[in-house]
Amino acid sequence: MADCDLHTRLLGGDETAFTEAYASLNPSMVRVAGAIVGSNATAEEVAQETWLAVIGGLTKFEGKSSFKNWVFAILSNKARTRAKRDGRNVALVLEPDEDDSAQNTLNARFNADGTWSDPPALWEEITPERILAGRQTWQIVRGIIDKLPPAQQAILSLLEGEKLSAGEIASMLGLSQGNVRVHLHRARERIRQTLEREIAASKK
Amino acid sequence: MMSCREVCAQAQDYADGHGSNASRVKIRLHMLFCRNCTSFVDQTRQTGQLARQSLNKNSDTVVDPKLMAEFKKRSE
Ligand SMILES: [Zn+2]
Repeated sequence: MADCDLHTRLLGGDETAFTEAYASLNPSMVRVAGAIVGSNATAEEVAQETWLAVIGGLTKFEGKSSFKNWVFAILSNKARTRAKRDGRNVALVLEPDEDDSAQNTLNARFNADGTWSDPPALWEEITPERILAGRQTWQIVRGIIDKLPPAQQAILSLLEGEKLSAGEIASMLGLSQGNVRVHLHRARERIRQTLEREIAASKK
Repeated sequence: MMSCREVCAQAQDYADGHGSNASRVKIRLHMLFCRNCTSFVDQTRQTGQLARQSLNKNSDTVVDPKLMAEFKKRSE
């Protein structure tokens, strides 16, 4: 659904549009709030408060940004306020080295001279609907994403799910664009490694 | 020539279409001769796509009745 279209339908009281907007945005909103407030229960509350503010502010939305960006701006403000109130440090820092386990796992697959010692297999084209280990690939991937560190989840959702740019995400979360990329790369590499294991296991 | 490790370190930028022309050419050249890195870059590309597709599947979320009531109240 086009963004301005969505706002018009919501203004007109279209309940289907509200349900669709909620279903498509709320999971990412909870992830982003979670990265800022640090608890899933609080994140759900912040998302709920944001929806109330969105409903109350529909007539105030002027279309200066996209509707989606407007919603996420309200969300990150609310999450920050909440985190401060709870005495949390709101700066999203890169998790320390232990989080770079994906990189270490990858490094271990090369010889000292930079050639492969444990080379990857060629995947055939994998569709979201393909069944792996009894589940559809998209469900497996969703499960992997749910277990990523909160900042990685938030960034992946905003970039791949909501199509926000690295610059927009950086200013929303108070990170540099470089940090956004690092989080993103770690998240994707972790997903790739887990999928690689699942695919290898399903071939046995 | 770039080593396999160097190619893999840049695989995500390559798959995203980032990176300088010079480094993209070097990676392409390496992949011409290296099946393993071709597989790795392809896995990386597919992972990005799967993450996107997976995040865009709306699970059957039910709107909190309180929120829906609030939404209805507003449009009255
Ligand atoms: Zn290679």
